[in-house]
Amino acid sequence: MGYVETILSVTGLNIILALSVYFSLTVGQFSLAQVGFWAIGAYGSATLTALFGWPLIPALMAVALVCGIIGVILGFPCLRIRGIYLALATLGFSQVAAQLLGNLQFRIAVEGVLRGPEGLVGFRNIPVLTSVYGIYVFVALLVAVLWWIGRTRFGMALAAVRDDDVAAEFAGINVVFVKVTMFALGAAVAGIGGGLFANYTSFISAQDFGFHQTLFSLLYVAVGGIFTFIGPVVGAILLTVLPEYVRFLGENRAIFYGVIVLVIMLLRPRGLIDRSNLSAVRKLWRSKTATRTGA
Amino acid sequence: MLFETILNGILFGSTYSLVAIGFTLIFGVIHRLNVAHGATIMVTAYAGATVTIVFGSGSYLILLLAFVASVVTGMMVGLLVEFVAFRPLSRASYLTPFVTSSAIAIIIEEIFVKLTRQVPIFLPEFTPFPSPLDDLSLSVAGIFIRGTYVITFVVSLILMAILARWVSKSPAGRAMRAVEENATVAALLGVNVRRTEVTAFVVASALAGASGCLIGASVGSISPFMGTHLILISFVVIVIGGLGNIVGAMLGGLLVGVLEALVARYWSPTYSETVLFIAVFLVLLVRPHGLFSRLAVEKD
Repeated sequence: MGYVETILSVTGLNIILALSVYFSLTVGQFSLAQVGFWAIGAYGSATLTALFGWPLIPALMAVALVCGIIGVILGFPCLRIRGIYLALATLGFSQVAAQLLGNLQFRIAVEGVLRGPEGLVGFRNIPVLTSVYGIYVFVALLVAVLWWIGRTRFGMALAAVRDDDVAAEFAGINVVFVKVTMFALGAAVAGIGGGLFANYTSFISAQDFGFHQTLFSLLYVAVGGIFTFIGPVVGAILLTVLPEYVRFLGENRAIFYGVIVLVIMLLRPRGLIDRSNLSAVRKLWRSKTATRTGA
Repeated sequence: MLFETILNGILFGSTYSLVAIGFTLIFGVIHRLNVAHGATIMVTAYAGATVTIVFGSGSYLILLLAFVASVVTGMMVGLLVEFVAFRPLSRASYLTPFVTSSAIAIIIEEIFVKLTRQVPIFLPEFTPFPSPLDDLSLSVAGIFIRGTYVITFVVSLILMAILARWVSKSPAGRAMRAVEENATVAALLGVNVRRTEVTAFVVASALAGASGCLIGASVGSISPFMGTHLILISFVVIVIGGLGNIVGAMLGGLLVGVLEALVARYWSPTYSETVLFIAVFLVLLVRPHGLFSRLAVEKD
């Protein structure tokens, strides 16, 4: 029970991380900043809940707001940077955030006990305020929002900006607004995810937000595919659950992990979920609903 | 004191130059980042360490042998990486080889975590890299300099000079510059693009091998995770020097070495990455083509 629940929770958190990457991807911006926001959310929420006794929801809203504002501030300069340059710049943001927060050191007495982040040792005794249910409520919310955005005019604007931002600009779309909004939303989502992570595991340290974590956030999205939000979800689930099925490999699991990613990417360079298999599913679904309504 | 710090930064920074030149060479020719470059260096460092551990660390001849072993290992790993992670994906977007080379980096790292636990001559975590240069040190006019740093610097300079000459004068080097400029036109003019790409990988990974041995010998110990630090350093150096710019990578490596030494000396070694990546961000905003680029105009 405990084991399954842990796997489910970790999967849920990884889905949130993957979807936060997807937000800025919808406008063609490939961002590696998400782990940085994840770290800000984790340390922020841990501080508010453990040291100032805030309940979880207000703490998450606060970190989402902070990450969103930082996302706006970071989003504007990032408009000027594209492709691989953007990936490197945003990777820089993650490394800086993780290193600064990971070295934080201050103690505050809470009910007679000194608590707070202890530098490289990490931040211990964060109250556990969420369970697997809390995590999946947020996952469901995210999926619903992304599904809804895809059906609005705003969603069409996103697709237009992703395919050709110059053409989108000429079509009257405010490209700056669209790009910065999605960047900030992705940042806020990552912040909330980080907060959930901190208040689920009760212990965070710089190691949770290192370069490898950034690589993983990229692997989920790349393995799943970047055409719909289903891709990152599938990628995160696959790459979290599959290694658990090969526990018999013991220490070789991490090697196996790399091999899975390599094989999937070589066989399907655009990820598992792409336009072709998605439209096949859609066609199937449409024909079913069509027969049901008798049309 | 300040001068000593800067000097040591420049001397050790030369290894960063070597690392980043290899990295930028690959980017220049195929316009893809090889994330496995750091892991390649780690493997070559273990190859060099194996030689000095097995044959004893007393003589310079054995150190030379270790150097050769590192370079040859680097070439082999480079070929493997190119064959597995890049060749099948020549038409894919820049994202896919980034992911496949990351996957290879993870695989290689984990294999070495396992190897270091099981092979008796290695230690888990940190394995010492013995070399006869360990005790060498110079003291000029009150400034203390480690001998390994001087030798590392000289060897790096020689390698860079050879490379610069090779790139500008040899037929293979010219082909490489042609492909870098425009692969389609180069192919139409009879350049074998495929072979040029493989050559770039082999040369870059040979440099990775050289730097692996030099870094191992001058730091004195190696670990399966040393590649992660070096790949991050490479990212910093090639942004500062301009992506694909070899001279930029040389100067950028020295600059990063100095920055790192200054931060470690006057602030704290734990914050060196923070300073370096803030520099990256600023350079990308102000001079996206690097500090040492002659291109002033922006282009995508």
